Amino acid sequence: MTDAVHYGIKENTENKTKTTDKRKNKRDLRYLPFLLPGAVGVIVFIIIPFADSARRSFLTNITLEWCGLDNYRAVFNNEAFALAMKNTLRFTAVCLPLLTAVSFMIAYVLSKLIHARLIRSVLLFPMAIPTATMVLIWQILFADSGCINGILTYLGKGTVRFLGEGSFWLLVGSYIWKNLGYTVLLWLTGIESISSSLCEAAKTDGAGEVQCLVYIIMPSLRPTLYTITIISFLNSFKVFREAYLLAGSYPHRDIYLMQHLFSNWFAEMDLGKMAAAAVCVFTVVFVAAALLKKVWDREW
Amino acid sequence: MEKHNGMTKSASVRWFVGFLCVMAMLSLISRQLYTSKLALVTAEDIRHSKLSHTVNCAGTVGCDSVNAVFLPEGVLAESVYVHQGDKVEKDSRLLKLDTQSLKARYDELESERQKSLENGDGYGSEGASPVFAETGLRITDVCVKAGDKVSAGDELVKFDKSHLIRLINTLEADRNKDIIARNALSDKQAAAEADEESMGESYAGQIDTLDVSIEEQQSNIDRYLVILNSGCAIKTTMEGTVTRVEAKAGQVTGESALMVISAAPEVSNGLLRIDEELEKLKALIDADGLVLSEYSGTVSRADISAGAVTAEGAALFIADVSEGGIYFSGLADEKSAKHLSAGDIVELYFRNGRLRTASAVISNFTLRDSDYRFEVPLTEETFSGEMPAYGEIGMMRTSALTEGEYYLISKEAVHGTGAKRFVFALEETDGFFGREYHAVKHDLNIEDENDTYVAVSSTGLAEDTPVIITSNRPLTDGARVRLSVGKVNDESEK
Amino acid sequence: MLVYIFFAVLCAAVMLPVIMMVLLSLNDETELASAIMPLESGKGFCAPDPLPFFPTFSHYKKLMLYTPEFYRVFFNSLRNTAVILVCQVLFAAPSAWAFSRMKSRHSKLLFDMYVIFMLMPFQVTMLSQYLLLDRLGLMDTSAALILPAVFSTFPVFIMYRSFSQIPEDVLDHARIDGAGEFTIFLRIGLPMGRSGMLAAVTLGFLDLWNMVEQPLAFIKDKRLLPLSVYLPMIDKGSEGIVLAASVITLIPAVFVFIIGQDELEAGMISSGIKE
Repeated sequence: MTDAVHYGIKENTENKTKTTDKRKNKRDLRYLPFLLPGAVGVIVFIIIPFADSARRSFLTNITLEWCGLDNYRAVFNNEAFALAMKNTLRFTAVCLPLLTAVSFMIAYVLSKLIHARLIRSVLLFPMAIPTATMVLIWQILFADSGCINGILTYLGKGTVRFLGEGSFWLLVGSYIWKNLGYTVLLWLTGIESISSSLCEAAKTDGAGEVQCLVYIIMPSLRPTLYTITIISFLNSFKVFREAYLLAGSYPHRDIYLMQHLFSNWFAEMDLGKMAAAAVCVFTVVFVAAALLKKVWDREW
Repeated sequence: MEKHNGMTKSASVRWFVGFLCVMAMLSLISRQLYTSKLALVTAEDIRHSKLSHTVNCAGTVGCDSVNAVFLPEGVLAESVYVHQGDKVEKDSRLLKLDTQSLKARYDELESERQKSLENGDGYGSEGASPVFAETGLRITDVCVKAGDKVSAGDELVKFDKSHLIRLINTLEADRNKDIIARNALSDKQAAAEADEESMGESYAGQIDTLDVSIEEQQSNIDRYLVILNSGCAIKTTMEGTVTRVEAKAGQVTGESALMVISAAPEVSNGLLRIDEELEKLKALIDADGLVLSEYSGTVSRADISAGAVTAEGAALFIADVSEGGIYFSGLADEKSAKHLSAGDIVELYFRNGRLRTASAVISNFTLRDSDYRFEVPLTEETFSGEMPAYGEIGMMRTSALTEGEYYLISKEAVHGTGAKRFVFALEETDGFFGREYHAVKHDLNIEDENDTYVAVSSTGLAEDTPVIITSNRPLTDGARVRLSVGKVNDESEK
Repeated sequence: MLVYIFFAVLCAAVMLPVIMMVLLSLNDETELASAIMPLESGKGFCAPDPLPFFPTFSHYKKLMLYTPEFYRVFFNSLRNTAVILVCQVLFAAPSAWAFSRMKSRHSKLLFDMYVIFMLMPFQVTMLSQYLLLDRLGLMDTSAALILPAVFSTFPVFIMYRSFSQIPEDVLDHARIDGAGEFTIFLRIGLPMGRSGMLAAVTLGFLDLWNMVEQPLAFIKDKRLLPLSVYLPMIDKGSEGIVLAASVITLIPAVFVFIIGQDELEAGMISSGIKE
């Protein structure tokens, strides 16, 4: 039944998509003026420059001569690039699932509670905190002689070098701390939008809590999952700020992210390599997003 | 957090706006508080050039060929026709002396002369021959006095004739007695010889003695007779000047000399001077007291004025500018001497700056006995118009440039003492409000200095960095400062 | 009950860093120094007292009254953020509206491109933006920060979600009544999509208030620095100031968060329904 509701809506839209392309195009024309200013800006400031730098990726740095794939070769052979890409991918691969899972669990539990609003706000709060604000506190807490290590030593566990080898996990933790609230909120609203009657109906059919969860709730949350994935992915790049403010331009190996690399190359004005690398990253993200969309669309 | 949830949206908005307003206000307040703590400074650029040293030396105006005009002492000047600075030609009128006082002075001197002659102070005693006379003569007249010239045969002293005759008679009577005695004795001797007794020898002795005495007496008598016969006077045999007279009328001659005559008498200094004065006075009297200049030149100093009595020393100085001219000269101490050399152009100041010139040139600069002496000739070009008087004291001022070029820092900017001196340099940085200035301390290695600048060969500062001259607060190294608008070179600061 | 305790602990843990920061900022010099000393000396562990023994506002006083440059950067940030947000709304709202109404494949394609670029980390487009800004002569100006951010596609995405909720029928009714597209947008679209716009503004503010990469790359002039980059620049010796400044920096974000929280959440509800 839930499906029906959803399907019903989908039908509507499907109906709409069945209308002829020509008509659609004609209709759409009236919205053009709305789109134009923004689109022009986007094209001028984002798309065209990017195309330009893509062009540059095939040229040498200073003299701007065609050099084919030289820059790309340089990039791929570059150790720093490999490290950065590896770290960034690793980070994303760890963070996203972790965040999604943890936040879902919390959201699910929270959805059962009554005074959820306060907790929601509290969890949401870290998102509002500017990164620069927390740098000193992070240092006090997580430095080798910081509070956490103090507690750990007291408990006999020995120190963890949060700002050294453990910096990767520190960043993961920081990321989750910041984004937990947002994702929980998203999950919550998603869960709450599911009519409770659905679950009740299932229960009367003999379904248990878990089954309710797995077969009713989860599927309906796919849109939410989509949004969460996108936004979390977006935010996962922002963790560079913390890394930079805590550890500078050349941090520990494990957290040398792609952004560090770009920043350093930029500082050295190594434009050819940067352009090539930018194109590479773009491709990767593009592929990932396209895949996501494909998976998404296929489900529907 | 509960509090936050309880707040309504509009309340939050209001609080937010309020917060922003408070921040805006505080931004102004903080600016004011911050800048009020900043020192307000002025700065000046460092110059790169040679250091000038000002040398001040005192000296006096002198003249190599200065002719002094001497006037007799003690004479009243009736009028003075020239002043300091006047040009005079030969024989131009200088001044007129009062003839009466001239004459009075003349007489005074003459009597002085007399007195000294009489005192025997007129002549020296070299080459003098004393004049003796027989003793026992009574002087009636002394015919000469000291200073008289005599030639052979002149009468010097006259004696009393009757006194002499009486003396001669006495002497003859004594002689006659002796003759008689002798004759008697000789008779006795002849008789004794006939007797052939020893008593005859002693008689011979006695007779001889008597003979001698008779001869002596006879010569005395002869001498006196000569005098008697030659007019009872002593006549000189030599030519010369009577330098001293001891004899006086009424005296009876004794052993000592009556007077002293000298063929080439040595006139004493005193007498000479008096004679000179007398000569001058005589000449002046003849000229009716008018004193004419013997030289041509410029009156460099006049120590005589109308109505004043002449004093010892020169009354006027006439500088003969044609030959060598007037000089300003003096001594320079070692420190100043470093910066002086012949050929330097100097400034001279007299009378507190009222009389000055800027175009004098040192002609000589010599080292003598560890004293540095400089000479600056004063010519008509040097002083257009009034010239400083001879003997006037003035100041020489010059500024000499050092050989090398240094970085000159105004002394106002230099702090500290002795070897440990430093300046505050004004350094610019780009700050949150545009250009920021900081005071940065720099130690100095001072090579040379004068009154207004210290000179260093390297500042350790970047090119064109100014140094802070004044500040209204004590400065600390690295402190931020505000630059006052009065900075000369800061054209771009708006 | 256990659940509540769990959540209490969780909330406490989440809020701990912030509370710690506020409390530390009230420490006076000596306490702060002793709390931080292990960081520098490497001996012992940081163990700041939960509550300062000698609470003082001296750091705030010093920061607020004697550091005018703080206000400079604060208002720099504020100005940048405000301008960007306003422009973003101006450009993104119509775009989102258009995207939400347009059904053709072309628009979908363009929208997907928007989404793709939205996902890119700044570094990817950093180079291209630099080249453009350099050519326009805008390097080292505020425009270098503002212009690229204005055309960020993120608000379009957010607003799109809430705009797409509005049923077409309402619009059709309005069209029948003779309203022009623009009027429809203004009178119907904007009010109904208000939550999305506010969500976009709130998220945008929180992101822009934090802007770090762009100033680092494009701004050299100290006069134009935003607050987010100024904070790490404060001298090492004045941690108290850093803490006080951090708290002050936090305040506007908190305000915006409070004001926009409801819309944020409302904006999320729309995500429950696929377009």
